[in-house]
Amino acid sequence: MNRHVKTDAARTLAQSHFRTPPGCGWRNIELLVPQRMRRAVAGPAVPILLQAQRVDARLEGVPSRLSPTRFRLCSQERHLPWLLDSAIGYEVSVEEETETVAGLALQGPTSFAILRDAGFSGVEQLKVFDLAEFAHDGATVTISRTGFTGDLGYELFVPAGKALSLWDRLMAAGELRGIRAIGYTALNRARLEAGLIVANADFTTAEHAIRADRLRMPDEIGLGFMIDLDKGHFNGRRAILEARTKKKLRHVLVGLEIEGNIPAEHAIVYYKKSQEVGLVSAAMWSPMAERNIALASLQRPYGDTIVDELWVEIYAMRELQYQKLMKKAKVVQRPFIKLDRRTANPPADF
Amino acid sequence: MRAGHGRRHQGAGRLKASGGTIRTGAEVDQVLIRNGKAKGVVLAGGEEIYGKLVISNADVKRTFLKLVEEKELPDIFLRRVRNFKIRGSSGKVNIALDSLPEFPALPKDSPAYRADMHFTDSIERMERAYDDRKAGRWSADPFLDMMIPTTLDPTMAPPGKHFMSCFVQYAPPKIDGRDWTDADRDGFAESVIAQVAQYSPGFRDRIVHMEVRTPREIEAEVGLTEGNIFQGELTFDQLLFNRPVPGYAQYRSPVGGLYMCGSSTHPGGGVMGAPGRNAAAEILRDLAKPTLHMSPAHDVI
Amino acid sequence: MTSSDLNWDAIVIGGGHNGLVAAATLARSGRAVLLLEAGNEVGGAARTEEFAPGFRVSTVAHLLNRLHPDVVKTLELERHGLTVEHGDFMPSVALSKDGPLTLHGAYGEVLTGASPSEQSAWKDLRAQLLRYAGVLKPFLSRRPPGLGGMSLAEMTGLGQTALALKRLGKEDMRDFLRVLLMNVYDLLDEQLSDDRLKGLLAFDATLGSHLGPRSPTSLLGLYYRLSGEIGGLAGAQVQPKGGMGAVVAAIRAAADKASVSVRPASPVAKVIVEKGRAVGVVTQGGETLRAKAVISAINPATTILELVGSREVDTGFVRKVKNIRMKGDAAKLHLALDRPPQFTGVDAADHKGRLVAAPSPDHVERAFNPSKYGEFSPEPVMEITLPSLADPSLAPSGACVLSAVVQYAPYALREGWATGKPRFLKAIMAQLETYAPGIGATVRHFELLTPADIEARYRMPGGHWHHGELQADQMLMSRPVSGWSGYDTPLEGLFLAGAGSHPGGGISGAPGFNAARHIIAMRA
Repeated sequence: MNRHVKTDAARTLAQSHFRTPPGCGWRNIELLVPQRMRRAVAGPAVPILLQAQRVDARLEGVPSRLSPTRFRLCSQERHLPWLLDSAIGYEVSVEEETETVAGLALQGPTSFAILRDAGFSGVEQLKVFDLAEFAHDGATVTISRTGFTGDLGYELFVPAGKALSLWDRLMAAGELRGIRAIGYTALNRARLEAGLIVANADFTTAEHAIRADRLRMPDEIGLGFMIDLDKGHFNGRRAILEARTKKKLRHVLVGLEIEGNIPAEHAIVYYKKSQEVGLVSAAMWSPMAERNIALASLQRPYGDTIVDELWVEIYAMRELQYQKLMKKAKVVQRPFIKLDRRTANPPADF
Repeated sequence: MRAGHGRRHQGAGRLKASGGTIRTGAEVDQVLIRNGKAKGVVLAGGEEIYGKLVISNADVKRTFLKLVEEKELPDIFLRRVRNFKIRGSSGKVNIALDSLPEFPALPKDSPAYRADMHFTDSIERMERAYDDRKAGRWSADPFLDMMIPTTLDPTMAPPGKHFMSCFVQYAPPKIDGRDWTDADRDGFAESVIAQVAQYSPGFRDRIVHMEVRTPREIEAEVGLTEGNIFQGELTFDQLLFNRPVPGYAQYRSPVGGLYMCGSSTHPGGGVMGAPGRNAAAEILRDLAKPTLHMSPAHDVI
Repeated sequence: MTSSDLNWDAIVIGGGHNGLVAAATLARSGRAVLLLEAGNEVGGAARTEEFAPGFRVSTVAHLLNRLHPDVVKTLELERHGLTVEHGDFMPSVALSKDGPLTLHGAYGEVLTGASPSEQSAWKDLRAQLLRYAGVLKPFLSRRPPGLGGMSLAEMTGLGQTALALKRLGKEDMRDFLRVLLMNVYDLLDEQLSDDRLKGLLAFDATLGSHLGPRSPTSLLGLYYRLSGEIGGLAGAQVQPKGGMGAVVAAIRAAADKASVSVRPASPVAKVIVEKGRAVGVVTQGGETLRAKAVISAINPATTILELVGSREVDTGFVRKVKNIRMKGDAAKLHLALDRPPQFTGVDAADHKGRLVAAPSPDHVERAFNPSKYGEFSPEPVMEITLPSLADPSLAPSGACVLSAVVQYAPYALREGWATGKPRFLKAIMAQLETYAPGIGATVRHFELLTPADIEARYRMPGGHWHHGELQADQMLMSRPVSGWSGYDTPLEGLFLAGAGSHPGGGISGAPGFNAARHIIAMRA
């Protein structure tokens, strides 16, 4: 895969915009953003998970703090009614801007150089999760150093009417650096190498889950580190507390490295080749890591305290015939690939 | 679907292909019962036809209050059949049009012309329409489920002409407690035309012909008691194990060999065939015959 | 802000009858209980107050028909002054231009004024209704069944209900299941033919709810009414001597005996939450009071959204609480009359009864229609009592008090109650005049409480006396909201004990009593 430069226009997101007075403490935003990622003023854009009252991960999204009192939430699904109901009792105004603001991700090693060449001077100042506003075509484009690829990259937000001119500006500036549009398949591979999870692929959101037992707690999808139970009340606090104290966390999401080079997409994971203990939700042969990688949801204690003797059953299609393979898997750390250039300061020219 | 509900003819074809016989113009007057067992039917002309089983697709009131004699039925069953609610609530107005009506609210060539259209823009209007029905009148401002099938299948009308189908609520089975008259029927049609015309200038001028069915016509033409299109109201007290009546929710009746297979039975009305399919399965079970040839319900995902 | 050093075992918010029952029951278990009442007097909507010089009336609830026997027994209310004798049972009189029809004894043990065939049909229907309401009755004194993880006691309770159903016999059980969620109009049509009787029953089924007789599930309202009992007889009704205030006084006496500290004029501003647990309250006066358990016997929405605050609970819970439907449709009319009115055709004894002006189910339905659109009924239906006939202490000598519950008077009247109220009063008086000609000329003083007035005066949101519509979707395990029907809340240490909780409103004491027993059982 060409890992040079990607503009990921295909990633259409639902966006909401909200304002809060300083110190409003709207439970869904401030309380769940981990302390170490907080910054005082402009910044940070941090992926967070917003929980509902039960055990479900109700609301996924990435909020950006546009100013001390203004936030933008980008999420895969529309959540306006839920956000409005969550605003009851707070001084928060929420508005939907899915149709009025266009989002564009510019990701890859030359992304910084392209923005610079396109004339966004000052963009070199942005550290990871920072954002700033720049002039574009009589309007303002908000650029954050964020992305969903684990690579050096930026996300740009612009009034929808200025989307085409921004596109043209970037394509012109990046022509000689091989800029091109990519689709979901490419993005999905990049995010998998970066070990990032996707709602309704690696876990089922509350809005989509029909069966109560298919919902997942943050602890069950590797996001438990974001929970700070000492910060007062937030959606799902009681459910998380109860699940932790009553040991009701039945699943764990892990990164797997699987022997061989056949992608194990949607394969069943076994313990000692016989006992079913989970399912692979995303898998690929990673050309960059040169490893056969996967994300899988396992039933505890497998993947948690028992990590030996895990096997993956892969059905490899060979000339219209399935060949069944039983491959050894080991639990490994995510991300599968860590690129120093993602966080390097200043960002590297390429 | 082209030609509307024409697929039922395929069903008829299949019945014939399986060795069945269909007789039309053969109104059943009575179910023949000997020693508590159904033996066949008597047609309106007096002809007697014998069969091992009689399966009634007529509604439960028509079947047991008209085709079967009272003495053949237990009191409690009769009481429950009499209490079965089958009050009609809708009518139908089919309109032949000289040309395609215009709806200025829609963009030109809007795909909505081929869609199901409604004119009621608030729940309050629908509720007020129901208030009229409760008071024993047709709705002065009805709610319509309107479509123009010829936008999908032009063969249903001569070239350039159109056909509009309006499903109309509410129309009570009786007007102020008395039967519908022709004048009532015309008043009912007018309420529909007036509403469409409000949204479609010049609509009246396009009308070539109209066919109006109030519950009276529906009962007279199709034999649906009180003109109820579901062969019985679909309220909680007439659903599931209560449909059509408690104790007889499984297609059987107090009379041996007499079964029910119409919309009066579970799961109810609508063009779906489920009551008929389920009835067939129960009958085959009583006959100790296999049901493997019946296509199963889909797996629940 | 002052802080009390005293630590209470339980603080009860709200001194309505449920709050008093909960406080008294908890105190009898040895707990130190503090009851905080916002008003100057306890009793809430069960008070008897002066509305005109020398005229007193039970200002919201005016009939006692469901005070739960367990409450009477446990709190020894008879020892504390509550007496109900069989002779006190009031008849219900269906008023009509065709002459009245009267249900005597406990909900029509004897019916007069109807044809013999109707009397026989009524006998059957009454027995059937009481049988079916009887199946549901045990639920009144239990926590609603949980949908997941039921305790053994709950399973046993449900098992008993299944047994009760089975005891009905096969055909009766089938009919029970058929009619359970029916509308009252259709059921009455199946079994009765006298419009007066049908009108009365249709009125009773829809009294206090936003339903017309033809609305789906309206029969449940009648079951709720008939699941209540007084003096050991289901369906019976009385006017307590001294008004509803006397019932409150008896419960208050029981609370005092159990050493409940009652503080009137102490509105609560806030429930204190620490680490997800309710640990006390702050009064509007600024006093902090701490307790092991906080029991709110006021409205559930007020409790959660105002006292606790939406910040302490999850969005999903806030959403459910906000969605509780509680816009009242019942107004209360009090008339101070120069002399007792004469209702046409009603004999002297029946004037002491409950007079219902709802001449047919269609009439009730027509009265309901406008309320759907925010309009009051031009021909309202009502339940009238003349309490001073049985208890002359309520009015000056020779004068008379009229107390009526009138429907339908939507809380959110489209035109606003400022202009609507005089017009509504006129409509009510026109109806009264048809049944008691000349009554208008004897009115010395009137008081008409719309749901908006009831809300303001009694702190009942929507002016709804059940603190939440009592309909199928807000009953049992869905009361006050699904998932939280057993008097618990998402906050540890905070409990709900008012009419907004199962089983609902009416002067029963059941929600307060059940909540207290639950708290005692869980040793909170």
